[in-house]
This record gives sequence, C-alpha cells and structure tokens, in this order.
Amino acid sequence: MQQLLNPFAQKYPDAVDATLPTSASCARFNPSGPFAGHYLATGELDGLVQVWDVETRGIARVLEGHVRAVSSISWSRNNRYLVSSSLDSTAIIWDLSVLPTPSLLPQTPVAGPSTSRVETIRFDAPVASAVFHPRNSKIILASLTCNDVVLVDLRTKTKNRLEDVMEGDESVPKGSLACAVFSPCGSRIYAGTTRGLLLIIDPATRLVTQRVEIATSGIRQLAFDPSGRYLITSSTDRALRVLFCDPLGNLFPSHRFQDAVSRTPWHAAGFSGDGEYVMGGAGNKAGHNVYVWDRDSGVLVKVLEGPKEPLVDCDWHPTRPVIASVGTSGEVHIWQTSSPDNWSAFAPGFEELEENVDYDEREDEFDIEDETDFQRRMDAEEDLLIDVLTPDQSFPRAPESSFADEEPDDDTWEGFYPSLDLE
Amino acid sequence: MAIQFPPAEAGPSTPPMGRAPAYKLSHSLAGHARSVTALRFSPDGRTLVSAGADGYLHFWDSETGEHQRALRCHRTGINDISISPDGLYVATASDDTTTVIHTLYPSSSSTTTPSASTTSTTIPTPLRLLAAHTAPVLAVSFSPKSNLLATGSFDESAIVWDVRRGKALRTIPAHADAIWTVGWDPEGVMVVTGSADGLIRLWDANSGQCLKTLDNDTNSPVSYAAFTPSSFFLLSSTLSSTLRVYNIHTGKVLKTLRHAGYVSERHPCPAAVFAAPEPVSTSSGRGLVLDGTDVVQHANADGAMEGTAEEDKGKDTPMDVDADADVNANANANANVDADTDANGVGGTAVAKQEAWVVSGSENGKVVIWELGSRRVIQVLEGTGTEAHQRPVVALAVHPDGRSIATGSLEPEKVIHIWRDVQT
Repeated sequence: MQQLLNPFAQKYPDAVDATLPTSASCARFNPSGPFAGHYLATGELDGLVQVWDVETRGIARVLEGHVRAVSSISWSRNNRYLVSSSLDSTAIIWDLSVLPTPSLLPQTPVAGPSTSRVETIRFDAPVASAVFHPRNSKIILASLTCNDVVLVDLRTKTKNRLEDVMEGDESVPKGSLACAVFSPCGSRIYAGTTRGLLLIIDPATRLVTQRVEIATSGIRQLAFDPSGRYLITSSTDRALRVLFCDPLGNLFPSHRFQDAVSRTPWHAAGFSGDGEYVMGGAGNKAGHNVYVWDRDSGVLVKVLEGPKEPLVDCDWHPTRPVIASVGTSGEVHIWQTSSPDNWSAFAPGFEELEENVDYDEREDEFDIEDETDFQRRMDAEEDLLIDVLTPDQSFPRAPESSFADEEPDDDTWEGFYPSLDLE
Repeated sequence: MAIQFPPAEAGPSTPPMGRAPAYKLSHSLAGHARSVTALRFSPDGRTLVSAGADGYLHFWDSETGEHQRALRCHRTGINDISISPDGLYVATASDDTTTVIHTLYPSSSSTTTPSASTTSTTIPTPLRLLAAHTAPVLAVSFSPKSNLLATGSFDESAIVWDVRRGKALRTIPAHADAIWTVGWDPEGVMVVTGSADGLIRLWDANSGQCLKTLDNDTNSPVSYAAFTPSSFFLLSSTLSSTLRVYNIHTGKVLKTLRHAGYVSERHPCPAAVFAAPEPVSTSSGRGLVLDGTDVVQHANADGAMEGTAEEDKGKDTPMDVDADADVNANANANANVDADTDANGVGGTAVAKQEAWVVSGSENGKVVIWELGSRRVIQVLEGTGTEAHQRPVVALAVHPDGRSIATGSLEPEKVIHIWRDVQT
C-alpha cells in the first residue's frame, strides 16, 4: 500500500488521533512481521497487561498475573510471546496463541496449555525492564531497579548477573549496570553503567568486549533504531546522545540533544521506524511533550504537545508515522498525521495539478490503428510474466543470530497474530 | 459492428507452460433447499461451508463429503460468507440487510446432533449481529487478522466493522451502484470494493480514504475483485465474460482471460487464483490425518500395505499412495511412473516456480480453469447428466492445497460438486 500513498507525506505525526482510556505505565507496538505495528501492548499500573488492536482501538487480550505495576513490556520476534516486567520482582512470559475460550478450536489437544502464562521468572529486586532477545523468546535480558542486569536463558535454565569484567581483567568493577539492551542483530548486549560508561558485552561469554565513555553521569536508558546503526542514550545529566554504530560494534558520537533552559528530564527515547527521526519523551511537570529531531541533521522538527501531565513512556510505530505516548494518569495517546483526501484517486487516469498546464498531444494520439494490429499488440503486452503467487516479504523482521539460533524457540510463524475471542 | 472477441485459441500466442490439471467430479452434495450462493473452505482445509438462498449454512467434511451440521442463520437468503483466517468464525451477508457471526465449530456447550439441527427451524443467537446497511448485504470478507470485517451492500456503501465490538467502524460511500464484492489486501491495510457501476476501488482501511480506482474498457459491472497472494495484483471478473488481472499501482490490465465456454453476463460468480498443486503422487503437503484414512482404505483394498500412513510419509513406497483411489480409474495405470518419480523421497522440492491457475464458473454450468501465465484454458469442468452443473455456477471455492474445487449452482439444481485433481 505504501506505493499508493503520497510519497511526500509528512514522516512524523502531528496531532493526537485517539486516547486509549486505561491506566498504563508503558506501551510498545509489535515491531516485526507482516502485521508490524497493528498491536500495542500496554503494561498497567494495576499489574494487568493488555494488548490493544491499533485499528479498532479495542482490547484484543487482557493478561492477569502481576500484583504490582508493570514496568516494561517487550514483544518476541514473531509477536507470539510477550514478556512483562513488574515492580513485584517478577517477569512473566505470555503466549498470545492461547485463547481464553479454548473450545473455539476443537482440534486443540485437551492437554494443551490452557493459560496464557508460560513462565514466571523471579528476581531479587523490582524489575525495571525486561526484553526478549530479538530472535529467541527463551533469552531475556532484565534490568533490576537495584542497578543489576541479569541475562536469563530459559534454554539452559540459567540466570547470570552481568558485570563489568573484561577478559583477563582482574580489576574491581567500576560502577554497576543500570540498563541494557540487545543490539537488533542479537549478537551483542549494550549496557549502560551508573558511571556513564557504555559496555558492549558478548551474550555467549558474558564478557565485556568494549568500554566506551559516553558521559560522566549515569546512563538511564538505551534504545536502538531498527537497523541497528544508531543508538540513543539517555543520561542522568538530562541529555540524549545519538551514537553511530559501525558493523564491528564501534561507536561514534553523532548528536547530543539537551534542553539547556528548562533542563527537561527525558523519560523515554527512541527512533522512528525508518530510523530517520529521533524521539525524546519529555517528563516536564507541566506538560507532556514529545520532541522529534531529524536524526541526520539534528534539527528539531516537531514538538508534540500533549495534556498537562508528565510523560512516562513513548514508542514509535515500526512502519508508519504514529507515536504512542503514556502520561502519568495512565492514558495512552496515539499521535498521527492527518492526510488530506486525494480526490484524484476516485477516477482512473486523473491527476491533481498545482496549476494549469498546456497539454501536448502525442504524435500518434489520434492515429487510427488497425484492429487486428491492436489486438496483436495487446496480446503481446499480456504475454508479460507476472508473479501473482509470492506474497510481499518486505515487512520488518529480526536478522539471524548464531547465538540465539542454535536452539530456536517455537515462535517461528511470521504471520502470527492474536485471535479475537468473541465468546 | 460490435467488436467480436477473438476465439480463445487465437488470443494467447504462447503455449501452456506447466502441466494440465485433471479435475474430476469426486462428490456431489445436496442439502440446500434453494440455490447454493456461496462456498468456502476453512483455512485448515478440513471443512467446507456452503450458504444458500434458504438462509442455511451447511458444514461438510471436505475430504469425504460427509454432512456435519446445518445452521439456520437468516430468514432470508445468504448472499456471501467469509471464514476468518484464524479459522474460528464464519460471517454471512444476507438479504435481510444484516451480517451475523457464528463460530465455525460448534462450541461444546451447544452441540446438537446433525439430524436435530437440520430439521430445526429456530435461528440460534449469533455471536455478533451487525446491522447498519439499509439494503441487502451482497458481500462480506474478514480481514487477514480476523479483527475487521468488510461488507458491501445493495445500498451502495461499504462498511468496515469492528468484529470484537460488533459495531461499524467506518462507513464508506464507495460507489454509485450496488457493491457486489469486497476483499482485503494480504497485509490487511486496504479494502477492495467492486460495484455494478463498473469500478473497482481501493481504500485505506485505517483512514477510509480512497487510494485508487480501476475501470474496465467496457464499463461492465464488476462481479468479483480480490487481491492475489501478491499484494501488487488484483483479479477481477466483470459481467462481460471477462477476467482481468490488474497492477494496482499503474491501474493497467496485465492479463485478460476469456473463453468461448465461459459466459458471465447476468450472474456473478467468484473467481480464484491459486498455485498449481504438485501432481497427486508427489503430494507431501496434504493433511496427515486425512491422508491417513485414505491410505488405510487403500491398503485394505490391496490387501498388503506395510506400516501406517505416517510411516509411509516421505518414504519410498512401491505403490502410489493415491488418496483419490475412489474416483481415480485411469490414474492407476500410471502408478509405475509415479513410483519412479517418488523414489528419491523428496517429492516436489526440486520443482521450479509454480504456475498460477485461475478458475471461475460459467452461466452454462461449466467451470473453466486458465493458466494465468499463458492465458490458456487448461481444463473445462463439464459433463453430461448429473456429472456437471446444468444451471449457472454462482458459488466457487478452492481448497487451500489447490487439489479440490467446490462449485455450487442455482435452482432448481442447487447442488454442490467437489472436483479433485487426479493428475499424476
């Protein structure tokens, strides 16, 4: 459909299109698959996890399990699983293929799972965030509020605390790990420390391969663009830094965004689905603003001004200019562009013109062609080979990763979506 | 002088590229009291659902043709049905201006015996009743994610419904005449509508905006329009006995299909494009369970057959594991050849790109199959007496594996035929 839309349309949203009446603390679009961005998972202040259908703004699934507020939510590679982390010190993995009314599908074996909750992982402290490995839902990276980062591998049933240890390095670790993410390729972990260091960790050996000093103050949040070429860090000095990552994992600072006047704290940071724009969610006491910068030039292109409440989380749609932002009240705002009606689409061969143009008639435009010649020419044109059977494969998907693919999970069907339960 | 269409043989200049199919009548199903108006196979291929002008849905085992149950949905005729892609629900489009949604499989709480439900005259309460059209609903289609439903009506509007809430999400004043067909692109972001005003329009399901309009050179009423598996192309049929494949971006017609035996001037019939199935003997994609029952029958008949059906899978079996033995007299002669081609046990993996076949039903009772690449007719399903339709074919469905085609016809015949490809 992208080809039928205006190619010069605005690539970032500009107005609130809808508000989901809920009490969320975090929100994430499903990032991959043919239905990327069609669902929004929210973690609620009361511990519920909800899956929203973005098209209908309705709830597709409600998952009950946490007893305290949900702090983060993450989708597995083909959207079948969700992991939610909570301040109740657990992370829960949910299977969206399980229907609340299993009898809808009579051929489901009776012994099959009857509950969406697949696994509950307990930690020693409230969990600040938990993310799946981009390729494997059996590998989870959790950041705890006590500044510990834990790598959980359910394939081997191991939980390992990540530390700032380099190979052959015996020195005492400096600072503790505050946050961590997988690179989109899944072959590296990027972790930020409370001392402002960015560590690149090999997930297989759990050793630090590289240390980069980003700032002198602690790193609070890390996010990659979908291509994995750009990384954004949010630090306690209230600055967002964009770094360029070359394929070998080396980092080069590219831009720094800071509000020098009002010293805005950033509660969320990220990239647009195409990586062209940088998004910063400002946690001002007075208002709920999402700043959008051009990633290449660093120019501020848009400030989305929301209701008078601080922002707690925001996420950019993987394919469209849509942003979901969460305020402290828990309402989720969905920001979109308004596109004007394209009246020329209502009739074939019509075209909207900015101004009058002189029409140049083609040399042969009114030539009379012999009917059999015409028929032969049309026939020849129709001999063209076309492939009507191969579906479009150009949707976002996670790249292969040797570390995770050794023992793949069962989330293999790219076209997965959670079914509705109408009963 | 009216422009005469050239005879089909004079049109395409290229010979057929792939094999010819050999669909043969396998089952004839009678159940409807009036015309059969719509047919759909479930996504898993096990069930065939038929809808009739009598307001009933009938559910059939697609392999054996056994009648499973009947469900009365409307007091008036059903014009179209759609099964949700997740295989959970079935939606109807009826003359009473409403659409109802039922579960595809009876829920355990309300299970009734087939005989009891066949004779019952009560209309069970549907899961959702969608009422907003002001005239008969002519077409219905579930979105690829089963969360939205598009309907097209005689009132010239199309409605996109929120299935969960059972409410209209967006009403599109789409055309200047009755909308006979609606559909979705494979990603579920566009709705296609086709109307008696001769136009096909594409809509952004998210905003309700018109994205594109496609016409045909004779402005004939559009009786069917649907995306092909590739979202770049659209297959349509018009009441000028013509099928066309469009490029949706340029609006150009890339393929035109006509045939002397294909007449569609008054009664809309769906068309379908599907991948040519592998010849039967190299079948590897068939449902295991269904295959199993057939193989067991075959084994009993032959007296000596080693192992179970599951063990035979992918193994070098000396005999053709022919699932269609009951209808297949000629093909047995080729069993030796099949054993040779099967011997490597990797049936079908080395075969090059599949051909696309297009099938549609005709007003003279014939069912015509084209090879899309060469635009040649490769089989016409016809016959004498009860072996073929005598009345216009207005309902058609292709099994997900492409090996079976179900067709249904108007009154007074009102029969459903299942045709099986027995080519080896």
